[in-house]
Amino acid sequence: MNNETIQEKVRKELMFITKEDHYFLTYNLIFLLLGLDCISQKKPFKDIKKITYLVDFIADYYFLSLLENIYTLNLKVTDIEKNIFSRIYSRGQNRTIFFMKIIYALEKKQFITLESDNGSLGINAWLNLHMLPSSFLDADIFLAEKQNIKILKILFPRIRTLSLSSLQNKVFQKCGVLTWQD
Amino acid sequence: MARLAIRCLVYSGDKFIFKSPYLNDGLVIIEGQNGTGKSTFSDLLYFGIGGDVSFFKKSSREKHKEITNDTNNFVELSIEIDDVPFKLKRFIGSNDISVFSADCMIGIFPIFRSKETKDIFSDWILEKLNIKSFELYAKGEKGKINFTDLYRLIYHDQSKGTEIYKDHDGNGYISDSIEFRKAIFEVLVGKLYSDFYSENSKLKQLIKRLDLTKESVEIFNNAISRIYQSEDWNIAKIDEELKLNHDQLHKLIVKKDVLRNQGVPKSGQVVLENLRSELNSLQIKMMNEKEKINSTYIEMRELQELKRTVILEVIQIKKIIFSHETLGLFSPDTCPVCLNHIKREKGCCICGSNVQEEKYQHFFYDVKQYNSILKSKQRNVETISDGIKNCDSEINALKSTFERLEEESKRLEDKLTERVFDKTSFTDLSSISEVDNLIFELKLKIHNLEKQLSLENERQKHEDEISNYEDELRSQRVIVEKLQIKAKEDIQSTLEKFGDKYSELLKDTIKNCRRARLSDDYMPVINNGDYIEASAIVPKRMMYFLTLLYLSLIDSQINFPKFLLIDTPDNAGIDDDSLKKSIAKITEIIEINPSVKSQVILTTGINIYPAEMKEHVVLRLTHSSRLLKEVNSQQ
Repeated sequence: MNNETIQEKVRKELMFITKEDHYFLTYNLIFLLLGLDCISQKKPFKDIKKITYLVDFIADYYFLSLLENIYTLNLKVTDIEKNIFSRIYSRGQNRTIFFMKIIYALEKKQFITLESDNGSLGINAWLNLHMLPSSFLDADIFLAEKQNIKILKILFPRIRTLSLSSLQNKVFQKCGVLTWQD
Repeated sequence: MARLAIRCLVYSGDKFIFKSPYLNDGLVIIEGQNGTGKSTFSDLLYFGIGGDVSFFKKSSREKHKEITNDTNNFVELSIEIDDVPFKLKRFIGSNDISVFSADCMIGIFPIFRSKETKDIFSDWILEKLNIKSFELYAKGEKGKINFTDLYRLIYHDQSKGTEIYKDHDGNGYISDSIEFRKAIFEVLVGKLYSDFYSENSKLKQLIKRLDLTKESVEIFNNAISRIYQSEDWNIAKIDEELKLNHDQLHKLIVKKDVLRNQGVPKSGQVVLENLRSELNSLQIKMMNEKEKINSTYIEMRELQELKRTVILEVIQIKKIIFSHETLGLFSPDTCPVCLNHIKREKGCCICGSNVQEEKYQHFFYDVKQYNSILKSKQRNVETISDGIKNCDSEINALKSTFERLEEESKRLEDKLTERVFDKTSFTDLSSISEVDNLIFELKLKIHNLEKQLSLENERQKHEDEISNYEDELRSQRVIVEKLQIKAKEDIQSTLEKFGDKYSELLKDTIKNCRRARLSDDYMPVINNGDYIEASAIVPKRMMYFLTLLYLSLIDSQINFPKFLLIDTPDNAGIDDDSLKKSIAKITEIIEINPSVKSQVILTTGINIYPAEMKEHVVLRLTHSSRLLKEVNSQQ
């Protein structure tokens, strides 16, 4: 390998961002749909774009614990916490387009099914369990994500059917973050 | 003891691919014409379990061009140890092996040991095979027995010489010494030798530690005697001197108090001012130290938060690798726009223009790149941990300084208070000054004596340590001697069985062999060392390996893992009939104890085996159907 190729290799590795990796978003999406029982047309996950805002809470219990403090202990939101929620919201906004590409790729692979929601003009989705290997779905390595999704369900019982704007209101506006519609 | 079996071998690269059929228990034959890949199969298998194959290195003079010119290539072995399945994956050019169980990744193990590595691949596989690893000392050097060392009596390769053992990988003189070879045989065949060598290694380490401690005590003693030449006192004497000096000091302090109470005019005010000024500057120093402590705490908290996020990233990257392995959705040949798989020609970008293959910008990562990123993040965690430790040390040092300043400040405040209340009295300053000088000298003497006492205590501690090591050494010697005797007794009956069976096998396969036995270093001696023809080397070696397998089948306590790899033994001028006779012995040995499972993989020429063994052929290689297939021809 010559020096230029080594530099390309090192540059590419330096450019890696975990939270923007295809597989990172893919496995969080799959386990959220599974955790909310969105496995058929009868129980779709409404407005799939909501997931870009939820990924950080599923992947890191620290952020989820901040939500728990606000909702279950009724603690006040500090300035530092407001900053954190603001960053999570911006990250969610910025990766929406990228996330939609992954959604379409998963639909092409038949891992999920998409349908338009005529009422809200959003896109609903559900998992096609039979297309996913059980060795992936049952793997212990994703125990943390599954636990976090259970906690999310307790904090927001209707998270599956909430619209995007309702979710933004409940999670971010309540914590003092300014939000805006697409 | 545990059993090893190879179930499947996969070679995968951008240009060539190979997947073996399922390799069952018992005899497995891979037959092929010369130059079709039989030895490549054996080399790939050896590479996959951590061996060094020079033909796979770009820097070697003799290279396997299909493999060295291929890219993103790896070997994946599906193995079973006592019927528990594992997968081993090793990239060509890499010195790490990724180990997977049925559900998940167990870890990435380096092949070579370094100061930073805790466990290497050899440690993992030896633990699974219930074989204790240990350090062996020979001629003042030491080396650790690794799995590839034991493999020298498991892999019957195409040896060019008359050696029984396969050539060793390393360039260390210790790893190919007679002591090492004997240890390899003893560990595989003797039930107690692992324990003996393990305890012996502890004994050697104790001796080394004792020698080092004695050396450092000697240096320490020399240093002390140089510092305190005329005062080579023991602890009791120093204690006595200290007591005397403390008494003198007490008397001087009392005298000073008496003088102060006698009084002197005028100079009191100046002293007060000086005290106040000293106290002020001390308090400013304390404030600065406090600030430094606070900012270091902040830095440490930030590092701790950073460590938490990097550790989380490491876990997430492992999940990404698992998802990539299981779902296989995205790869460097995935379109970055619609995420479909691209059929792209090498040397061309997806837009069609020509591009240098190495510079082609991928938007996706392959497993090798993910693993490289993972290792980099893991190193980051260690660096951050070091940073946190440094902050901690810095905080402790700053706290000590602050406490010292606080004590000094308290002392000054007391002195100041005393002066303020005493400013109307008169004291004889010059006499007090004289007494102060004497007090200072005495305090210095006391300080030196205390230092000398501390050094003497240290010396005593080392002497006690030496005494403890000597006691431990005596006990350990007894343990080692007992184990050596037991191990020798135990191996005797096994050696007799080895000799009998080996002799029996050789008489059947070498026409002029009348007698065969093992020498003291476990090497075969045929017909009392008389010359035998060169072609007899093949059965001499093969029967040795088969006898080891035989022992493991009749005695479950023996460590030999009931597995052999025999690569193309048709060399050294042996005729086909004699070779077939030797090969026939394989099934004879395997069937000795049908209730015990074993596996022998044999690569040989087409039909160079007894006709009744045809049913064991799983793969046939010809010049038109070679081992490594081009990727394009498979699609």
